[in-house]
Amino acid sequence: MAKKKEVSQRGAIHYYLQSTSGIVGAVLLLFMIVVSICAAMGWLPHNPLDQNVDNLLHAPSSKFWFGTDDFGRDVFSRTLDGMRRSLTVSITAVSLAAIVGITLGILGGYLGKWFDMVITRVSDVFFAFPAILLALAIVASLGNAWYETSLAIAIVYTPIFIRVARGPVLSVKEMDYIKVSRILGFSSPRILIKHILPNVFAPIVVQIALSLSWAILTESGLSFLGLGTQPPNASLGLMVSDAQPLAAFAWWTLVFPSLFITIVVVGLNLVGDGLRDALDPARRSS
Amino acid sequence: MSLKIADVRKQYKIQATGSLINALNGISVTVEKGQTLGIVGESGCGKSTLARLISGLERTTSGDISWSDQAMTDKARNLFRARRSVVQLVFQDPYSSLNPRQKIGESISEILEVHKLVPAKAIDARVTELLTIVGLADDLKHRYPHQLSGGQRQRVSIARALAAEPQLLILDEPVSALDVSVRAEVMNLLIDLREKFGLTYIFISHDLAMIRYISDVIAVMYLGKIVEFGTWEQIIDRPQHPYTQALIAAMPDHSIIGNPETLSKTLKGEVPDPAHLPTGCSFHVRCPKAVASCMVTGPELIEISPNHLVACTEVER
Repeated sequence: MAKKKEVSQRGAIHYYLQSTSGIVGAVLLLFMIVVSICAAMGWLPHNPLDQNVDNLLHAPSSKFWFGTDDFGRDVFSRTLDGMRRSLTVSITAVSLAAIVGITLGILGGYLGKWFDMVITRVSDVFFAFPAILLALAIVASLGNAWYETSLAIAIVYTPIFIRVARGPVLSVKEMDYIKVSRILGFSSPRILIKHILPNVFAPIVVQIALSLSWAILTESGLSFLGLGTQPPNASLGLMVSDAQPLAAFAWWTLVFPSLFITIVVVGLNLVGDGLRDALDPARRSS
Repeated sequence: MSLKIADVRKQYKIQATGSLINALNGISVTVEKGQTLGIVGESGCGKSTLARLISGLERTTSGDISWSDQAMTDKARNLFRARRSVVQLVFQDPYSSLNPRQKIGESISEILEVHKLVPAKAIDARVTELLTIVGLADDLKHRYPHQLSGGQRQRVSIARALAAEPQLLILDEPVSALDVSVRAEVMNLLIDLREKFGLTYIFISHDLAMIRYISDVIAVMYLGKIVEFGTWEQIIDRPQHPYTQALIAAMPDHSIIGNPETLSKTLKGEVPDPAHLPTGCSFHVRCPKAVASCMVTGPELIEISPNHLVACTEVER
């Protein structure tokens, strides 16, 4: 009896840990988070801004693990610091976009009528622009402090969250169990929070993981184009950009920041996959 | 106490074309407490629309619905809260009527908590009691809906409706999505519950065999109107309206294969578009007994014998 109970009460974490891609993704992401924390705490072998004229374009060695760039700065320390900056900007941006977008999307889908129409039309306008172009325009008008870059990316991704939250709400609110809840006399806030939200939660959480990876790419893209992080500060995108003329003879300046971008994006996508499987009770193979 | 439905009409406007769909065209019927009204008709005849109107999911275009002389169509803000103890609805599809992320026990206890129907300490015991009443084991409480069979889910839906302590239960095709082997069990459960709690049922189905099994009185609907009303003996054994006759001829045990007499009574053609109702009697386009006057005058429901009402000019003669 007791054993049976335990099995059916296992939560999403249990099912998440049964998915290989989920575990791999989580490990990669955890690694990146630890790396960013180290950078934030200043636990780096070298100061990422320190220039060392004696060691220009030094190949990877025991002293400079990822080599040095054309200013003699340690690529390892700069990559870690860049990772921290990218993650900070992306997490801030996606949190903002998710909070605003999900709230508007769910309310729009549930309330319908003019409120929904306004929200849908406005997000359509935003969708009409390519993401990077819109982010560029916003950054250009706002400025390029990290929080301004975050805000720009948040504005670009809010319509995605509106759409991701609104669609499922539209179908879930027509389900019989929502009608039953109304007949049973439940209040609208209760129906929204207890009956609609849990049933649209899965695609939203997956979207958060995926958006984080896109946001990292967008931030890198902005920095690459010279509008995100400004030199001498390090950012993964900016490092890739700076490494362009050097790549032919100093591969390490390009490879390591690119590798980190790849790892974090792949990690976040795998986490998204794992979450998708774990959050759907019917998908669980029990 | 009784449920009174008086001249209820419902129209839907199609946004794209602006045309009006006449879903219900003047339904009047009374159901006494403890009785079961069976509603039968083809898809699109308005039986589910009527269920939504009585349950309050939608508003009537005109007409009144009242329970023990208390109007249920007023525009009070807490409409559902107020009528929770009057009417509950059990849907056809046992797969979409339970929240997939809520355990069975929670979906029942939520009602008890929200409306404070039992003291907090007694909630668990009450959930067990309700599950037992519908013939389910107590340990299903901890399961999710997808771990249950269709029949079990439908029992949970019934238990959940009972938790709200309603007097009237609308059953919108409650067994038609279930395996044939499970249907009889659920039907018997419904009959038991009716006796035990003195419930009044509105049982909607397109299956005359199920309707006959559970109903005291039957209303036959066609295109948003009741065309015949009577006790089940009157409707099943002595159907008067050509449409009822056709429905009964289509019952499997009546239309023995190869019997030309019964086969000739089954209907030809489709139900007309409810946006453009035929003139006169809406059934005349498919009616085997239609005469010229049927295209002009729409018949009223006339009592042809005690409690047996028929809307057909040809029967009155």
